[in-house]
Amino acid sequence: MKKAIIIPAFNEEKRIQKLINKIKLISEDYEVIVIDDGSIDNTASAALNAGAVVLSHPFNLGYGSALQTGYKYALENYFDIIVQMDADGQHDPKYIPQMINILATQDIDVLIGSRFKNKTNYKTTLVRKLGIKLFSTITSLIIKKKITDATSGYQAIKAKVLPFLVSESFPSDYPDADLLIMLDYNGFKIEEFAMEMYPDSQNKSMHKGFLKNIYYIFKMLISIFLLLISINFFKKNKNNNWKVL
Amino acid sequence: MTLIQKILFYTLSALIIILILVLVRKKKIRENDSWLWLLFSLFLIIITSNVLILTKLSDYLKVAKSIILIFLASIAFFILILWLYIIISNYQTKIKNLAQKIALLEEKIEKLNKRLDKNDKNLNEKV
Repeated sequence: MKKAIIIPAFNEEKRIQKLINKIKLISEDYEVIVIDDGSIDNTASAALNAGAVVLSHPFNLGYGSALQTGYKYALENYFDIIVQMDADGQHDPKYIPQMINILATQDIDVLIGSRFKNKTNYKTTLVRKLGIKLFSTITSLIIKKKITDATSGYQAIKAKVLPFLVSESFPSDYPDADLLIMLDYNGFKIEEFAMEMYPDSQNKSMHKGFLKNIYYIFKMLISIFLLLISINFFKKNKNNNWKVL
Repeated sequence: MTLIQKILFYTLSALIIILILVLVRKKKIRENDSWLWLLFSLFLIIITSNVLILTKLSDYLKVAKSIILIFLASIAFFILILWLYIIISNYQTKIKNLAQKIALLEEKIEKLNKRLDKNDKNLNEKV
């Protein structure tokens, strides 16, 4: 079974090597794929030196597009299970084997690493906490399944989801709650996996800043609203798969 | 509308049409998109030559001519900007796909180069 670890990275030369080494220590079996999203530092060479496959965007495309490049690589190279995680140290690679094992043995297509499924010490700002709660509740109501961390970037995915993820339906800005709704609508089985996450030590989160938070919430609400309209509008074509969205 | 005003408006509309044609000829505007600009200048000429339309609209809606004119111009501008935004969005998607393809192809080239180097080394050792 081919397993890929996808890590989108933007100006992470100081942390990427440590993360790759940690992953390689867990298993040499994983192919670590770093998507250097137009970094202006030496992220690409640091990742390459640590033994990762590096896909370098010629300029910054954003988190979602970086993830999608990783999915495209995984699809082209016939990987069976893909784990995606952030390069900023929030995600602990120790969960990778468990996540892969769950996907390999159970009838689940997408496994989301959740900070809130069990009580953990994860601390974040009140605005972000409210945002996570809001989108998790909306997602849970729409897909009729309890989701506690709809905005988690730590996920494991089966290969059969990849054709959907590389399609133009993929939200290339912030693929979070809206993506989960799309995945559920297209018949993919989603589950959560309780884990501990750590705050970003350098505070370089993509949602950092008041305006970015507001934009994120606004964009996500609009995206979910448009999605609901499309889903209802195209309900009769449900079997036609994601192309209708 | 006085004669001088009419001449001024006609000249302006004509100048805009000439400018669009020159820009299309010089390939500054793609032929595909030029129709929208020509339509826009045509709209200017129609409004200039048919003040009657404005008068009738103004009587019917009981609104001043100037307000109707501003409203029509706003709609025209809105359609123009929306059209341009659609074109930009299309290009953004294409640029994203191209950049992703570049990243994937570069990695492939890198892999092939490494394989070639390895083959060369093996060949040299054998020789």
